[in-house]
Amino acid sequence: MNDKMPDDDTLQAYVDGELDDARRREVEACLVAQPELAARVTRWQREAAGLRAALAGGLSLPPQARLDPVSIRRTRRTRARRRLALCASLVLALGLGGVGGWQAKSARVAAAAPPMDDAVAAYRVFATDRTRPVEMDASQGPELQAWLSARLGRPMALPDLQPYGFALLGGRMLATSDGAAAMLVYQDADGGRISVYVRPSTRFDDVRGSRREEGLALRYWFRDGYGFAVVGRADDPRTLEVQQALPSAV
Amino acid sequence: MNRIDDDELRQLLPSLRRFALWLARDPADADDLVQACIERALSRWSTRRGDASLKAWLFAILHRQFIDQRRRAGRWRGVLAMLGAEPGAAPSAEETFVARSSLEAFDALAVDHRAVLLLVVVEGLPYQDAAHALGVPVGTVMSRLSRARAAYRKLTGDESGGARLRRIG
Repeated sequence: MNDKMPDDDTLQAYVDGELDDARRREVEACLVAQPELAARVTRWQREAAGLRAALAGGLSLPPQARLDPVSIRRTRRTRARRRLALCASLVLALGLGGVGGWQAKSARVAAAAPPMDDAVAAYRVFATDRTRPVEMDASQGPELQAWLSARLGRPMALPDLQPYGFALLGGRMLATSDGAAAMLVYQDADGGRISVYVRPSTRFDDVRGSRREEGLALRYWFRDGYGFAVVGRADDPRTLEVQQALPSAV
Repeated sequence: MNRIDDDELRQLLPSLRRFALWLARDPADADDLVQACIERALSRWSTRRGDASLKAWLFAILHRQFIDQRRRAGRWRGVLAMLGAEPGAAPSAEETFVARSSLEAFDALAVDHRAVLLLVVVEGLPYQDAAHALGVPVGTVMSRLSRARAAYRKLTGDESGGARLRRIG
């Protein structure tokens, strides 16, 4: 080390007081031997002193009470208490919400309409009406189809139920919470009626099912965002035949 | 060691505020940094390991918070840029600067250079402690310190031949 000139890292460490005693003495010996090096180190030391003086003296920050540890401790305690209170109220709210939510859920389940209940309701209100069950009758076949398709937002075929003894009476639009519904009403020679009902649905899950209520038989299925239903009299065996044939036809 | 000493903290306040000010360059932002730093120090006191001085530990917390804040601000500028807004805090790309005093020169340094010079030269932290505070290896502290000094000398005109140097950026 004595023979070698200390490198810049060593000189810097010397200026910053980072060298141990032995190394410091070695550097100092070099500095004595090499005035040029000594001048450089002196300049660095002056520079450091200048920086210290400029930065340490050039700062006149007003005292800030909020930075005092005591005040920060106090703030922390208050906040912790508040947080604890908030946690307690959350626990209480969750508890109440849990109980209330459970009760609300059972009430909702009881009140929830069974699937395609609106098709049954539409049948009861309109398809049984003897004077005006439909808005547009079957004599305007193509127009009826176009009208229903346009209102429904999807091509609406007019299923042919003649093989089962039912002739198309006509169709009507209904308003549902899921959008416009189309109902086609068919009638047999004896005045018995069967309805085909289509409306948009939020379900895409191919769920299907059937049920009977108060003399009516409903069969429904969901496909591509639409719900379909066939409603007829439960005591007419042809209702079941139509219900079984239609899902593949529509 | 099991409880942080308020007097010790109070004594370090001026150093912390100075460090924060030279990092953030805004007195209010700086004091927010210091407050957040002390809050964190009080809550983290029990997890502190004894391998660094209290001063280095506090500087480390403060520096970490400054970095996180700057990262958040950077992300926010990115969001603003994406939305087509004018990022208000972006410095002009071609800002020329002539240092007239050591303070001005220091102010013109990159924030990493300011930080390392403050910790080592002004606060007198050992390299090891400065490394802890800045979250970098000791070797990085030394090389960064050397670059910071070179940049500072350029700005003040020392060792450069010319009296005053222009700095771009």
